[in-house]
Amino acid sequence: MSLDNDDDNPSLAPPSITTSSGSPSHPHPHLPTNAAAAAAVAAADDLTPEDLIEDEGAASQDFRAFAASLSLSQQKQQQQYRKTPGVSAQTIRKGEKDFESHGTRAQADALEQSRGAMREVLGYTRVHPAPAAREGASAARACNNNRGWYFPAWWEGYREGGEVGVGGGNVDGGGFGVGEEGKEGKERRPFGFVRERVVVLEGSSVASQALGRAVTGQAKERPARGKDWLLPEEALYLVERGSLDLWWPLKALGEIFPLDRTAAAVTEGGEEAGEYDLGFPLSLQAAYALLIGNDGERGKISLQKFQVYSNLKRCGYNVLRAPPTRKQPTPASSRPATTTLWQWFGSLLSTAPNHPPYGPLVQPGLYRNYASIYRQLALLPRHKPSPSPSSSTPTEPFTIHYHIWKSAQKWTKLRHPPPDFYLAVVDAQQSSVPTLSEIAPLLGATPPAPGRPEWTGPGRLYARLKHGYRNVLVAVVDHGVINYMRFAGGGGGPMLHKLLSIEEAGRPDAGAGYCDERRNLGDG
Amino acid sequence: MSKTATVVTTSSDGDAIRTVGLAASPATSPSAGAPKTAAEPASLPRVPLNEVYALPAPIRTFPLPTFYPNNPISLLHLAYAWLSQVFRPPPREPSVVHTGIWDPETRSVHVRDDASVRALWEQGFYGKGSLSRSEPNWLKRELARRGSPEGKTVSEARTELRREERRLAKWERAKAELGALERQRLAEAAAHAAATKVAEGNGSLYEPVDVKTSLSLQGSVQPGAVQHSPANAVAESATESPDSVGQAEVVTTDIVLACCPLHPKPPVGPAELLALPNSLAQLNGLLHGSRAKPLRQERQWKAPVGPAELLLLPNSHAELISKPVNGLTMFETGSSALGQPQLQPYHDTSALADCKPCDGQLQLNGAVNGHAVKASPSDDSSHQVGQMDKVSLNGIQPNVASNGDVSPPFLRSDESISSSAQEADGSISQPMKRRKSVRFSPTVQSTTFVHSDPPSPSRSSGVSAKSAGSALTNGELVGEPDAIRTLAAVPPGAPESSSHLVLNDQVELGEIRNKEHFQLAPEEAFFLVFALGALMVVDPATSSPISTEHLLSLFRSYSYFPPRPAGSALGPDDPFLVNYAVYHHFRSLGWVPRHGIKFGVDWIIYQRGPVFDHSEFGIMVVPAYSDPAWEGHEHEEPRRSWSWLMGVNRVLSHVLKSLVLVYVDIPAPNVFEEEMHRGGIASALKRYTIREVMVRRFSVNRNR
Repeated sequence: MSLDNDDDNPSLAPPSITTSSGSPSHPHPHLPTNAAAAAAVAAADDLTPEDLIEDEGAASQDFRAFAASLSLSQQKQQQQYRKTPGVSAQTIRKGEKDFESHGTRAQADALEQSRGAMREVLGYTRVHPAPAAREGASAARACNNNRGWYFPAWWEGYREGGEVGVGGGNVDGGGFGVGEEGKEGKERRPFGFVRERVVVLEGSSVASQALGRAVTGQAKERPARGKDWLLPEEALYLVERGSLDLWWPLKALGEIFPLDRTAAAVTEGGEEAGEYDLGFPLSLQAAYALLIGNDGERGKISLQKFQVYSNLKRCGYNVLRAPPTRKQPTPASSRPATTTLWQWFGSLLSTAPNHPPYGPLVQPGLYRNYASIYRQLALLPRHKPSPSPSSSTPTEPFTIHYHIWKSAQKWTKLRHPPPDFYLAVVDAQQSSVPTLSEIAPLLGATPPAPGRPEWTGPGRLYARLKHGYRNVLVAVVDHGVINYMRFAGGGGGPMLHKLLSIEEAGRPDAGAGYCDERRNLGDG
Repeated sequence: MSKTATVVTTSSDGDAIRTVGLAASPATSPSAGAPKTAAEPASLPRVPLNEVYALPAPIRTFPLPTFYPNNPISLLHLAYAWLSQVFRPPPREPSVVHTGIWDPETRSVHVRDDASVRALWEQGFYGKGSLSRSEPNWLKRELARRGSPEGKTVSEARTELRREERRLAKWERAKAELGALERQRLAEAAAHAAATKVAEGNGSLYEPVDVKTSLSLQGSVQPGAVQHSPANAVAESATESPDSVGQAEVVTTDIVLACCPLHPKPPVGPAELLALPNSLAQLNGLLHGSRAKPLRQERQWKAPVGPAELLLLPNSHAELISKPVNGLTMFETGSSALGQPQLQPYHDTSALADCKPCDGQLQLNGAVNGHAVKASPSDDSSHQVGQMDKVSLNGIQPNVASNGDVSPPFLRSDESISSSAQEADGSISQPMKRRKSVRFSPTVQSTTFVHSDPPSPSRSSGVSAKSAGSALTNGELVGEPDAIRTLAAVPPGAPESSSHLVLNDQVELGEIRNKEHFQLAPEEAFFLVFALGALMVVDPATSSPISTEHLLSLFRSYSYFPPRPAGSALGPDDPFLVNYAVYHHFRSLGWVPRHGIKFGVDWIIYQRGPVFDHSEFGIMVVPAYSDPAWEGHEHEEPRRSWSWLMGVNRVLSHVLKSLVLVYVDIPAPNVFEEEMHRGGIASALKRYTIREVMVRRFSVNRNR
């Protein structure tokens, strides 16, 4: 079967192998040479047929269709997995389940064929390619840079650019006094969570196109300058998918990453003798133990957040940690309400209805249209959404933890458009449905995202209302099962009815069909 | 294309023949509503919905005519309208104040006046009929059930029709699947036989089963309906029942027991598969029957035969029991207890319909009594009478209980009818799927029973009235035997047969009393009283009007269970006040809120009303206590689990609605009390703020 004939099936091999160790038996038609192409491979690599199967959960799987689609797409280019017509969720699961045998031979044959295909798919020998590559020649060794070192205390004393004003950099721990350097000559970059970064990558691999962050603005003599540092969830995600070897260092950072290039070459040559002189590799369990912790622990991440991060990355999204919300000074929005002359006249004309204490709110009388009746009925204050962010800060766990981008756009870890979604991660057992004091600041922390402009008409009332004025995603994690909920608030004000939105648009008592009939009825 | 199952019975002397047309077989008529539409007389011209429900509130408006500057006449029109309204002003709106009666037991406000009921429903969709889904249309449904041309378009009836069609479609699909399987199996068996040349005996499973063998197989598989009868005259006479039907086997007990194989063939044909039992009770009955334990089977057959069980069933009528039925015990209380098991010879008539192999079997089980007594239509012709099939029995009990499920009783040829009529006296036709068995003791003379009585749950009187026309279900035909022949020869479902049968049910249509009342939820009633002033609620005991203030405290105290006594502490977070704030909010925004308990939410809101559109939003009310002054007061913060939210959302998305969490920020008690003193409930309600949050499930697989 064609599954077996090469190593760089993107559904089975990590992306670094795909790009760097192109096996001669299967040359890539378009070997990615520049970074953009590599990123494209990495992005496309996130969407494999396995993911497609996985994504519908407990749907029935037709392994024959799956195997056929795999062999079909093998002949095509691996980069175009998403456009392969043979692979889709529809082809994999189709038809009705047979729950009992009805005695026909066709059914038995179909079952047997499906079983055979499943055995064939499952019987594929999966090889972890990294050790084999490392044991090979030094040329292969040079290409394989996906090694990460765990240095938890390196950035402990670092001060982010946003908060340097608080005090001077106190130099302690493994830090080398980077705070001062961070202050000077720093360009505006997004918040980097430098203090949380615990894993340094050897060299730059494909993964570092989307993950990690090189801390800039450091002195020349700092070791590992320009290297990418990973957040715990990024490191664990790479370890879990086999793209990263996490190593525990036995030597200091300066010895592993010597300053001068020549020394580096020397050490690399000398490493042949003692491969484990500098450190030793860590297992996946060890990586979990080192990187998963409670909320608030530096250099660790809670299990729920990691699960959400990993799920989103596997689904093809670009995910970054959201910068912490700062107490920004409330803009002087309380500017004096300048009433125009017309507004003043209008206020004279439409006096607020005087409501009798126990009704009826609608005064008996003669009414020309229903707008005046509804105006008298309006008692409860309507919530008006404002474009300025709310003053109250969100409270844990209902704060925005991740920014999420769809995969379809140009995206790098440093240059990207504003996020598509804002996500909060909550534990289903520890939290409950948000109360008003939790959901309102959470919604207020997101920028206003009104719907599309073509929704403004009265015909698209439902779409406009459902989209809301601001929206936020909440990932509810229940023992590893993730459910994403979308909370949207205030679709252009309160849930304005069609009738009223028309009236407020200045065309009283028109538009709706039954208004005209009502008018006729009133005449008659 | 025979559509109507017709069960014909004859008396012993053979002159009085009653025919009861049954509902069209769902198995054979894909369009069950066709006879109804054919027989439906021209009804009243339909009023457009936009005219019926023209007013969004029980308040009329008097808009002035539009002035067109290029048309000076319109100015005259405008002036005329204005002047006429000035000098002869229309009544001040709301011009009609309806009257409702507070009912503390049901915690609702009842409206009895018909005009008020219609007005409240049509002008804003308030309230609900107590016997209806929402619109108070019990009377219409009842009229439709009795054959009146009115009221066939009630929404409940349409729902029933839709369900029936869906059921039929599923049935057809299952039949087609079974047929395909059977063809496949036959083809495989043929291929197998051709390839291996093995003797036919070992390939019995794959052997093509022809109709004859399936018939015999069926006869042997289903002896559960056959019950052993002790040797009495009844059994003897039934034993003589000849096979003049031809293909139909009339099997007496002994024959059945003799021919019942110990190892019955597996049912492989489509007819047999469809005739397999659908319920455990039936299965038990079949199994015990095939094991030839007829006497014990009498007890294990779980058909609801006693009066208590029958009364528990839907659509049964208590009046039936109390009615004198000439000594006939309708129910089998005595017979089985007395150890007089009835003979139910088994007629398999499916051979007559080889084109429709699944069309059900007519099973005749019966008892013989020599007396021919007609059931007298009872004089106290209440509304029950009209819906009963008055079947006079002369030893033959046609089973009018049409099984709506799979296969109704079904006779196709004249000779089968006549033969069964003349010779198989003492046979009760019993359809396959019925749940109720009617048997008679030998002393029983006759009975009447309600056609809509057979308690098949999937079937209601509405269906029967629709599926074959009211005449077919309710009618009674007395005719000569040749008339019966013609009738039976007519393809059932043709309008002619129904026109024959439209006889006696046009009775007493006028004197149906509307047994339904109209009920307003407390929120609706208070909105009508407090906001619109279109309702006055009176005390049930004294019939004196309740003031709005008192009504508010009444509703608030009754929103707890048990209701808090008058004068006890009521807070601003009463369930009534919180719900009313939401109700008032959406009403004042122009929506039509209605109670949403059917969808698992607090409210559902319609854009115009349930008549016009489906509601798009389901609303869950979540009280919020964000005022810091609430710290000192006792209140319980609503902690709702995530699984609760997912459950609500799942249910709502299943009915294509989206969930809205409506947070009601409740003012602190001191603020509320102060406002209540200052400006009453009108100003207190202004302190409630409402925030809507749309909740939707986000699928990561569909948004990337």
